[in-house]
Amino acid sequence: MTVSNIRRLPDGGWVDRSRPLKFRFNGKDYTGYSGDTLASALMANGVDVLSRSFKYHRPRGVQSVGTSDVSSMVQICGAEESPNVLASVQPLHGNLEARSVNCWPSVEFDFGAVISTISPIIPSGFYYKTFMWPHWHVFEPIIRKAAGFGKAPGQVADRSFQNRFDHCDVLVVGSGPSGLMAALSAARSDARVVLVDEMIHPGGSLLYRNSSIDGYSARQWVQNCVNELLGFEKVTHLQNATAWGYLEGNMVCVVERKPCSSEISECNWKIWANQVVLATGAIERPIVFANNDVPGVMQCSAVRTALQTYAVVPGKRALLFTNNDSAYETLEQLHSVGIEIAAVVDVRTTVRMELKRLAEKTDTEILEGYVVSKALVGRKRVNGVLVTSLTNPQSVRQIECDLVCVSGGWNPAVHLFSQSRGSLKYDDSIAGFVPKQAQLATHVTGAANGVFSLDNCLVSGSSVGAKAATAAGFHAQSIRVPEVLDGILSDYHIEPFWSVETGERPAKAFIDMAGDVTVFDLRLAAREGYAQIEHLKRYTTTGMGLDQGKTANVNAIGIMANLTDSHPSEIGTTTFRPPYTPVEFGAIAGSRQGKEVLPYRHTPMTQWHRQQGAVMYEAGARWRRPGYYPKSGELMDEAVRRECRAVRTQVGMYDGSPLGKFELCGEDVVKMLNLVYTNNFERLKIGQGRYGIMLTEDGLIFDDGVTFRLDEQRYLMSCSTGGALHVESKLDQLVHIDQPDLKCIVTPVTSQWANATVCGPMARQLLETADTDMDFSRESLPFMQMSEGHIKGMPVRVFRVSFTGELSFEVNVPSRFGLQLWEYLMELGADWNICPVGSESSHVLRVEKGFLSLAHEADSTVDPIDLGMKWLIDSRKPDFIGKRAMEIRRRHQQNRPELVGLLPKNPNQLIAEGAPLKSDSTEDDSEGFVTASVWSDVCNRTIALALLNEGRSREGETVNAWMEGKILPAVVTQPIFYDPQGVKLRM
Amino acid sequence: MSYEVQILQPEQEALFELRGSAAAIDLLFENLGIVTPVQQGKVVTFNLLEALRIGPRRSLLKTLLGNENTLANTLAPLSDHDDISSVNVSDMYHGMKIVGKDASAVLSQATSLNLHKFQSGFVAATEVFALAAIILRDGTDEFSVYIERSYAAYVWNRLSVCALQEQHVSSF
Repeated sequence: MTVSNIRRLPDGGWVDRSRPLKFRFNGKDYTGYSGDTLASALMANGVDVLSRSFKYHRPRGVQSVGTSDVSSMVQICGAEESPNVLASVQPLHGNLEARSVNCWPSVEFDFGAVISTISPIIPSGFYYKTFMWPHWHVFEPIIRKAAGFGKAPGQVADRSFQNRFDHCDVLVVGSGPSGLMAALSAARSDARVVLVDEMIHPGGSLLYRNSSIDGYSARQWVQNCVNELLGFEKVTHLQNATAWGYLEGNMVCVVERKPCSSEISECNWKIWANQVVLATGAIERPIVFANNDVPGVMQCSAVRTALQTYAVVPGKRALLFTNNDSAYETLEQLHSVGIEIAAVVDVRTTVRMELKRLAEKTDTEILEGYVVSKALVGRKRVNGVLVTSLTNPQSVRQIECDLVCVSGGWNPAVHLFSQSRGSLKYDDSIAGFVPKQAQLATHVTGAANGVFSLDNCLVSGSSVGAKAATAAGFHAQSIRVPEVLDGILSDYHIEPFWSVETGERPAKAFIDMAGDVTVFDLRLAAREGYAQIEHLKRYTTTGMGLDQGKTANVNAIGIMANLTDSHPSEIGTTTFRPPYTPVEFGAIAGSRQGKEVLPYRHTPMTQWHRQQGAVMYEAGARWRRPGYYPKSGELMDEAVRRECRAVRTQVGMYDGSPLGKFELCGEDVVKMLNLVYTNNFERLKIGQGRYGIMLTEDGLIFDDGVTFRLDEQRYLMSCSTGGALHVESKLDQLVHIDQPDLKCIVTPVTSQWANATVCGPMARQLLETADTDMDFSRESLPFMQMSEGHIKGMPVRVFRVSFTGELSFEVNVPSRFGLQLWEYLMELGADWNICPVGSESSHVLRVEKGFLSLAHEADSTVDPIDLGMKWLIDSRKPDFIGKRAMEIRRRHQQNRPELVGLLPKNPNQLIAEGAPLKSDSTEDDSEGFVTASVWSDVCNRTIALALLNEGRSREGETVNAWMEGKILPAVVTQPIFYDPQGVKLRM
Repeated sequence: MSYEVQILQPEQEALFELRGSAAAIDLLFENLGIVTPVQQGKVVTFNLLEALRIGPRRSLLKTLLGNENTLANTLAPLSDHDDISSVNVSDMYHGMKIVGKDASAVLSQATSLNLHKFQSGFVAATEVFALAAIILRDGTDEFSVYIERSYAAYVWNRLSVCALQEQHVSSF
């Protein structure tokens, strides 16, 4: 059933009545207009209750403006599904579908509201005190289920997101009167300007002001400004875009919703600005009184926005409650659309004559020195208030009304300023915090700086815009300030008043609507000693909700100041942190979705591996390598055994391209190698290679690899696949920072070379049949030697290195030839039943041989001696990185984990990698753990490697591996299970 | 409305990376016949050779792949001293071109480089999709992006997605 716009004024507002839009809310169809927000469209259709509150499930409707209106939280449904969206900032568009959050079965009748009845036992911090028996965890799931808002989408939303980067001379945040003037000033000086504003229409406070500027209506003046700005080639205007983070480097993150004419749902901008102008305006705060959250209780600015921007009548009979002059502008506007005004309740005992005259003009009674002590709740919304005299609390009046317009003053929106580490100070004249000292190139103007009158905002915007452009290097001057007919706010007065005294257990008076924090909670916090602002925030969760305390914080500070008999400046503020408003993960991820979510790296042979059905694994540093190549119907274990068997008996080939590689050049390369490796690289002949281990500064294994000497002053260093970036950083630090005198130039060349490693007893025979100018004989190319030449016309470097324990040739070609070489060798190897080998098989083969693998045996806790590689440490060298730390540690720490082999007592039982080891079956601390465990075809049994305390001296001993409650005994052995003399790899 | 842009894969080029002291790199350029000083962040073309001064101690030399061996042979004696190293990195990087009226708009989704100030003939070692990359501006509406080869497929796909997205119009 379609419901008409029953609360829409016949004309006015910024909505486009020629473009009606259908939408659904809680299963009902409605119609709004282009230019509406979801909240304004719902209000226009008479929907009062939008959601239920976080803790007590109280009904909530529109209360505030824009991103501070946490009570308008809804869940967007359908293709655009998204939780916790504020209806007050959600632009209406055709077929939008939304529903209320935190309620069941409906927002009108919510079973969760029963929680209110137990509110005395769930005050702030209740989880530290109650629900302790039998155990907190019994209640925790129930409480978690009861709390919270929307639901994360169950599937990937069918929406497009984008990330963009931009740079500008002046970034202006806020397109209110100050922001527009600042942007114009800067733009006219030819600066590159970006103007961003979070509302769906530009204008800021002008959206709800009946002002006249230069003889134009506020709306027309805004339009004129925007038109002029769009005429500048170097101006970018992002409307409906929230600046949500202000970070170092003067970088501001901006999320733009529904860019015009675009299918993109949200675009997250990162904008670097030479100068940033914060014209973020001010946020009206409420006054706290009993039942101040009932639908129909709204901030004055929200009422004015409804009237002026959306032409929506939020009630029939209104009452104003205020402590400052700005609320009286609402009076005039309510009167102009024919809303009956019950009274103005002003806490001040003396209201200035100008305002009284305005009240007289609208035939409105001003109750001076009175407060609204309680809102009375009707069926769905407020239906009256109790008004109490401050001087005579016994004098209570009941006034009927269905709209309570509240203004407790204005909080300058200092959030971005605070994010940029700018300091704040309390300003008594506005009873709020204003910017004090900027840390970045930041300028604050207008209401964000505590300037509330329109004419002063225009002056401030003009001069600040010029100042920012000048600071960015442009010749800028303040532009002419237009003439203003505004009136009421030309002289802003306020009497600080935070909350109405409500007694010990009154109806709830809410300070923070987002977290359902009440005055009672603050009193409790003060009583329990949590009066300091940081404690107060965490104990009560004030300001920790979705709105980050936009409306609540200053009231909380003021109330706590009253409770502790101090000044608000003594209470201070917390630091605001990004995001200013919630930002969807999708906006941050941008177009990085689906298979492109992570930047995986590929070798030239990746496609071939996939075509052969290889199961691809991540191999570190984002490389994807084949894990194994299952044949049809083959299980992983079967495939791995087949591959291992091929390498041990015939020939296999694996893609070793991802191995980290660096070309080193200069006369001090050897000096550098001797610093980064534990062994000695002197006397390495041209064409020869040497294995080495790098340590961290604290003497633990960092990486390993082989370095070959290419010519007199050029070397090729290899390192682990996953460690390549770290090794590069370490080498860079060494040659550029730690030892800048070293004549050694490092060039990373990992992707330059593709690598096909041919391994197995038949490897040499295979290569000898190739079309080549090279000699692969043992004499010409022995173990740890390299040679350059050609295979089938391709330039190759062949290295005799083995990670499998078999005769092995690492054939390297420039990557452009990688696939060609691979396919050629596979073709040649067909006669020997060559088998492509994945990383699973490589793992088995290296475990059989006892070769170390980073992240398995070298887990950042061991040194070379722990792994039985003392032979790799040249103690005659004066120094190497980690030497001293290793020596000191070994001097003082005797009980070191040492690499051992394990033979499970049950030869068919595979121990899980990572299983802890103990000498007996007690609950004592573990004595080590299993680092690798495989089925070995050549051993015809399971084998394992382990790090065991004092392991080498415990050969023959039985240790127990613990695995999921089972104890698996295994015998400690040498960590080499295959060809311990290394005969095969030297063939 | 889609972006007016094409993402192209040009033919592979020969690339040599020069690292070393600024003076040694200057001298090498001079010995190659490049008389115009190659300032940091700029590209200078000489015959079929392009010199890309990425940083004070790092440059790239670019030429046709067919000239790879010739350039290697030319560079070998010129870089045969301690202050400079020349390494063939023709296969280390993969080049892509972004060409068209909206080339900047597409590239601004990928890199934080200030494209407003990045004029024709400029080069920068920067990031594309948070991966190390070298970007050249070949013309007003033309950029070359060099990315480590192993990431080429990823970057290509991401750029293609950006180019295919509906054009972003930020205006009132």
